[in-house]
Amino acid sequence: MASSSSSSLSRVVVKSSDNNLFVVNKKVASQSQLLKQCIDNMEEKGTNDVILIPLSNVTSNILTLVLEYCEKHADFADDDNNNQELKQWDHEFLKKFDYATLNSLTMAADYMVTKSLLNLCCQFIADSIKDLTVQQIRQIFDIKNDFTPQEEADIKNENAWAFR
Amino acid sequence: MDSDIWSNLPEELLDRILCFLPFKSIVHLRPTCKRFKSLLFTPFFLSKFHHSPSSSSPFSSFLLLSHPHFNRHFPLYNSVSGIWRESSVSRSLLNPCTSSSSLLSSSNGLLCFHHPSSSSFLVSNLLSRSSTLVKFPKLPFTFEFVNLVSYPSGFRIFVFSSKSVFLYNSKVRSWRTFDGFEPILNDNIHQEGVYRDGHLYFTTSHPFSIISFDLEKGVWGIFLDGTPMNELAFARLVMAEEGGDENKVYVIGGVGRNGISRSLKLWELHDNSNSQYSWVEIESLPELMYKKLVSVCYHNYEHIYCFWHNGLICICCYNWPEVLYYRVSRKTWHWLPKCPSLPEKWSCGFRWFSFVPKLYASF
Repeated sequence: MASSSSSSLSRVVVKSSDNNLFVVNKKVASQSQLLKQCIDNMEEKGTNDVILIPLSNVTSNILTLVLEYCEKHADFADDDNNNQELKQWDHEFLKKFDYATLNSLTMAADYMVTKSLLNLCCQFIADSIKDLTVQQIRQIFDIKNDFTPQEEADIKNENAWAFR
Repeated sequence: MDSDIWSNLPEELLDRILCFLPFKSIVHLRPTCKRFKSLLFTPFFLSKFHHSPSSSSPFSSFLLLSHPHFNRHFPLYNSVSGIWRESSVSRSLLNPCTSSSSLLSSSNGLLCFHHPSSSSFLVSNLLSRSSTLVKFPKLPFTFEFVNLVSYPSGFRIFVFSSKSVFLYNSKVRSWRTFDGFEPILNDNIHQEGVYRDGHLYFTTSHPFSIISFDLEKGVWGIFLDGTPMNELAFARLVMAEEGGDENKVYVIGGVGRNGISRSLKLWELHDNSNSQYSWVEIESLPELMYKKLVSVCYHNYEHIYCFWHNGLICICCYNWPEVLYYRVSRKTWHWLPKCPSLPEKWSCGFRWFSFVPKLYASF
């Protein structure tokens, strides 16, 4: 049966890939669909023990950041993503990271299924690459040009007529 | 940014990031690789772009001219900047099989061609360069009138053929046949039906009425019967499609006794709540412009057809290269200059279409 009050968990323990343990409030953990799924599964089984969730892909410094984000967002309702204070906080939150951190954070958000954080990271990265040239994009993301020079020129021209 | 960091990013995450780019950047980055090029037309991207509130279309809007003199391409008049585009849309570039076909109808970024060699209609999105062939409902098939209707989830083709209506629905990919309604073909073979809320509207003359065809049920109905005056020589229907005016219904009519028009007036039909419409005259075409209009069509009103385009009411004549238009917001009348690449001597056959490119206009 579904959870009764006696088997409801209030906290979980999350383990990072470098074996550090984080005690996380259930409401905060639920910001991640991956953690929420684990909690729901355990509650269905009626476990009273504090459960341990190992995250083999996330290092402790990145996990700290994800949890900081989840903690902030747990204070707001699900449909409160347009809250100005929260938006401002999100912006300040991402601004302080270098690209290596941002990269790891994006992958962690994807792995932990924290959709709002993932979208936030993607938007932030998109904003910083939007004015780059084709050549720069290929270089940064290590993309092989699979067009012939003629094909490449054709694509550049093919929709030119339609724009303002 | 450093490639050591980003080259390990999984493909689906990179795609997700690209979807957050502004539309212009996406188009600009299409030559990066084949995957980037195809990304523009993925459902995820299209749904995001379509629903994004800030997505005012980056595309311009055009009047597209189809004329026998231009058998290889369609000249485009950019109605936003008010100039003829130097680069016109070449048929063969778009799709090799459109080169032998004639353009029949245009709706919301999609074009419908007659493609006789395959006994089909060809429906094409010029922007995404995608197209689909719709086989005729029977063979042999002759038709008098074709009207394409497209909306974000698909399209329909309304065909009038030997007193019957054939209706194609792209959702179920099949034709249905309904009994026709003869009067609509009497005097306006170039005039397309006007689409709104699941219905196509047409006018009939002598007596004047506005009739509707329910595209879902296949039933004809009467929208408006009769006029407050007896002397309408011809009438055309136009409905506003965007902006704050999208509910407005206009009638353009030639006023005069015994079937001879003496002036051209523009009315707005006001809905007085219980489907009682009152005619409110909003404009009368200045006399000099009117004289030019009737002299170029020699009082053959069947050559005159009208449509709405981006805040303009366009009044076209099948045998004249200029378009008369009324700019609703400024209440002004203008002649749109003839296409500069048209030679001094031209033949008739001017078919104009409102063409607003849209990415999501799909099948």
